Amino acid sequence: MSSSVAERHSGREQALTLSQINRVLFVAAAVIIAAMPYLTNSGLLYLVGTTLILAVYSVGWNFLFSWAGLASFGSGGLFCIGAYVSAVALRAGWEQYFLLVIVVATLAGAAVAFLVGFVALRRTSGIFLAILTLSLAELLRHTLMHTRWLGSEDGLPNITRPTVSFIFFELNLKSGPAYYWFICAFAVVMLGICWWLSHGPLGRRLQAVRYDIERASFVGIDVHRNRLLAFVISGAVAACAGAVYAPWAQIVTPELSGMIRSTQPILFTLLGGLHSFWGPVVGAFAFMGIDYATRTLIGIQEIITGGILLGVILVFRGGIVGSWNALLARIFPGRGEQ
Amino acid sequence: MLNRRHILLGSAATVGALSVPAVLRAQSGPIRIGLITTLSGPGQVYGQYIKDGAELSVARINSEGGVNGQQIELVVRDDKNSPDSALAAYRELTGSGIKLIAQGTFTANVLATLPLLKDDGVTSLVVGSSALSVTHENFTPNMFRLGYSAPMCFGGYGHLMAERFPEINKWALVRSDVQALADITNYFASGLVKKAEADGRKLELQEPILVPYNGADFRNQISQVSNSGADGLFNCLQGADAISYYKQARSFQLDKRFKLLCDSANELTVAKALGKNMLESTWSWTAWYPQAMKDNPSSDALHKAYTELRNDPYPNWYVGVSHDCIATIAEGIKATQSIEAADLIPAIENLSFQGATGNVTFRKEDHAFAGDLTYIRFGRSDTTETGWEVFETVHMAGAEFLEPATPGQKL
Amino acid sequence: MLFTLINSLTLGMAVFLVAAGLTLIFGIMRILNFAHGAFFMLGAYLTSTMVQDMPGSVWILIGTALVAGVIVGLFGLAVQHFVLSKLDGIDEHFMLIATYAVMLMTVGGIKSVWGLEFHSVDPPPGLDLGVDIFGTFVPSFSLFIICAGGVVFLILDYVIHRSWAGKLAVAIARDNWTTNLMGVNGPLGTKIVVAASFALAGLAGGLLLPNQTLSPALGDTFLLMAFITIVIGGLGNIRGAFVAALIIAVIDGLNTYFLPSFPGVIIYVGMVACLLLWPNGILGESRL
Repeated sequence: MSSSVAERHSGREQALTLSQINRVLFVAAAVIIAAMPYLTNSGLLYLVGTTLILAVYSVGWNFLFSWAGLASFGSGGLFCIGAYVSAVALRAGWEQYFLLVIVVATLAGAAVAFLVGFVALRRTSGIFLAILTLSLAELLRHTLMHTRWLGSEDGLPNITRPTVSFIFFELNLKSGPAYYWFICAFAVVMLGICWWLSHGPLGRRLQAVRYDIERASFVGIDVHRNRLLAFVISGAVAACAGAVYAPWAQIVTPELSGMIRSTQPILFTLLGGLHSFWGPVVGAFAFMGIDYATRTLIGIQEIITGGILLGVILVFRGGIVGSWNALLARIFPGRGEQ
Repeated sequence: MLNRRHILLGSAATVGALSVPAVLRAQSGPIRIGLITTLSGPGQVYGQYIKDGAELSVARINSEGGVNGQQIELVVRDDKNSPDSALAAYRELTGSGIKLIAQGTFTANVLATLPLLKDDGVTSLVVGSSALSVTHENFTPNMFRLGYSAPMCFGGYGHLMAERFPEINKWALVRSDVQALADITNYFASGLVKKAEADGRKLELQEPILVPYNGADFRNQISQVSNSGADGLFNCLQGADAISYYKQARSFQLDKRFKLLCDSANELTVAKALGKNMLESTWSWTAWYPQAMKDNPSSDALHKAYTELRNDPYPNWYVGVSHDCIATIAEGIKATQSIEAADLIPAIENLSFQGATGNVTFRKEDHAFAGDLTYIRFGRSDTTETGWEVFETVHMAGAEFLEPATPGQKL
Repeated sequence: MLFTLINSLTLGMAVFLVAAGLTLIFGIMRILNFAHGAFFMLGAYLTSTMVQDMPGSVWILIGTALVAGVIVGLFGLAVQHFVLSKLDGIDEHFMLIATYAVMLMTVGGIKSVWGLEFHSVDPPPGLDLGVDIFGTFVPSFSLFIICAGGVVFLILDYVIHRSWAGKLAVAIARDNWTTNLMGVNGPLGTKIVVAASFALAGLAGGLLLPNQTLSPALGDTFLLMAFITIVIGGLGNIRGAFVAALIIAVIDGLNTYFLPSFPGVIIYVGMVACLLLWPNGILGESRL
């Protein structure tokens, strides 16, 4: 609808509007991602698959951050819970119920998020909530490191990729490309759900709360309940991503609950663009690109990576997505909607 | 140091690697060996030793004319001490046609790639990693571990101490609060007890005192152990933790309170860092102490090359072990003329040659390393410039301490 | 018990030394500085280069730590000038990723200058052994750290709450715009506080150097604890950070005393409890 408005404004002779340019790019990226198994070796395929999972995980985090205005530094803990549930179930031989396992893992993440949110959200917010969740994730990591039947600090290796049986047919996900496409499907479904949630009534209510908490409650929005809902949804998405991640990596370790995993969605979102649905996805792939391009620069990789990041942040103030749209608007003035 | 050319070269290499189809690059030209180790993040110092050792090994083999006339090329990747990055590196290397891998430092990163070796037809040499699971429940025939299993190297250690110091009957144990070090401590203790019992003595072993892993202050635990009343002390901490621990222990004069001190495996790292304030005397396990292996030309050559490279006459044991990993692959290829796993695995199984660390040979059943063990005693010295010296070295055959082989099953 | 408490107090004051600068920069710029640990480490490495294996005396150690602090403060000024000030006016969360990038570069730089090997610097003569207090053996260097933490706290507290410069900094932190209107050079004030924050990190690195082992992972050991401290205490609140450091010390002491089989874990439990009991920090959040 919005593009047709833009067309009317800019006249019919202009072929592409800004959102159409972005749409073309989006479709191109989707096609490239789907065709990845034919284009690269298994190393890059593995990276792209991991990045897709992390992108979904980050979109879930960003739903909490950009929509509900709550920052969690402990999302790695929920990712880790999902991954461990999936790992334990698959190692116990429940591979034909893999889809069910994912659902159970998601529910487990949601339940833990509910418990944490129920206690914490009423009392803390802002940076305090962030650090509270961070220390909870650290506690989980320490607990896992001390749990012998979950492999202590070496984690659970040898996770089999499943063969999922439906009523009429079997889906064999054992090979790399097969599981990769499963991840693609998972990403489409999860991103679709997240898109629907963030642009539906809940997303609007959350944004109302974020902009003005008093007015929102005045017009009848139950602030606590909506925030809790967002917290639970974000936790569920993280755990779901973790559950899909476990058979992809075929190993889970307590480090999944560490600070690195928890800061990933924050960095992805900031690099990609705040308050933008696609920001974390763009950020995740940008990070992956930097990482992959610098992998042979042993010894100086940290300096180069830091330098590139800094450059990107200073040049694209406000994240890649925002700056990209601003750039398009400058190159093609009069075509944009805003 | 760092300039634009570096970046250009790096990106050019990346573009190059991306654009050439994998098939074209498969094994025409040099024999390519992938090395996956920890070059950033915790443990990076060990990864650096591993990289040095492997590179020196490749340089030596190539300068001697290569393997069967073919040169060796080492492709190094960083695992960032995460299984995720280890996997990405492994898949990238194997995806580009590499069939030979050396991998090491921490167990979790090794466990990540183990299940993939067989399907990919890759032969892998594991550097270091003492965890039992690698050769037991997670065994795969495509892997050989040139590392020292905890029962062999620390059970042997306990045995040696009980044999040498029959007068010490009361032992205290200190370890970091992680499972890998718990295993090491337990095998040391059981080695002690077994030997003492065989000699008709009864030992008093105290419960291990735990210190935080990657901690900042160990004084509470140090005071606890110095009041323990024991005569012998086994310290099982790693890297920076160990050095901070000994440093903070200095004001307690820990070395005067115990008749016998044993460090797990930090060997000369401790002495090099502490210098003139080194403990009076402590034992440590090591895999390679070149000064005591003057009769071994392979060790001598590596020692010389390393001293030239890093200006450090006391290389870490990882240098020797990773050198021998590459040497093992080279010896295997020499024997069978092939780099395919199907030919190479039996060749390596039957191998027995003199590497830098001594005799290199593997147990056939579970591909566990069954070579020599080395223990050193070192401490403060007023006569040397460094402030410390090595007092004695003990070599033992490791095979008799090796745990029973149960490939595919938990011990 | 007294001994356990003194040791835990050592840890608490060590953490406070690191946290002091962190809470200062949060007070004025509202950012969690990821690079703080890296600059702490830089201070330690600089000091080690200056004193070699062992500082000749306590005063040499303090002096070199101060010099290291000044150098790191200058680095901080550069970071403020080339990075942080450029991000003025956009969402403050972007500072987070900027400091993350600065951290990567600093750690990388340290690695390429000083290498990966472990280094150790000994306490100066006189502080390397112990003294007897009420029949309890106490390592002298522990006393040094406790004193250093106390002195740094008193100085900071005086400067912030009593001196003209401190009040100016508080004014800038509370309302930069109005302060500017009143003819105060706000950006300069911000610069000075940022430099002071980095300098404190460098100083802490220098002072704690004889207590720790130098390796490129040194920063990580303290960063998380320092984050926790400033949050429990109330962000941007130097008194809060001090109180929180004491609480951490007590928790850690109780942990070692009653639950020795889980060293270093109870701190996180205590922290969660603290945050739930005092949701805005013990002494509340303050803009300096």
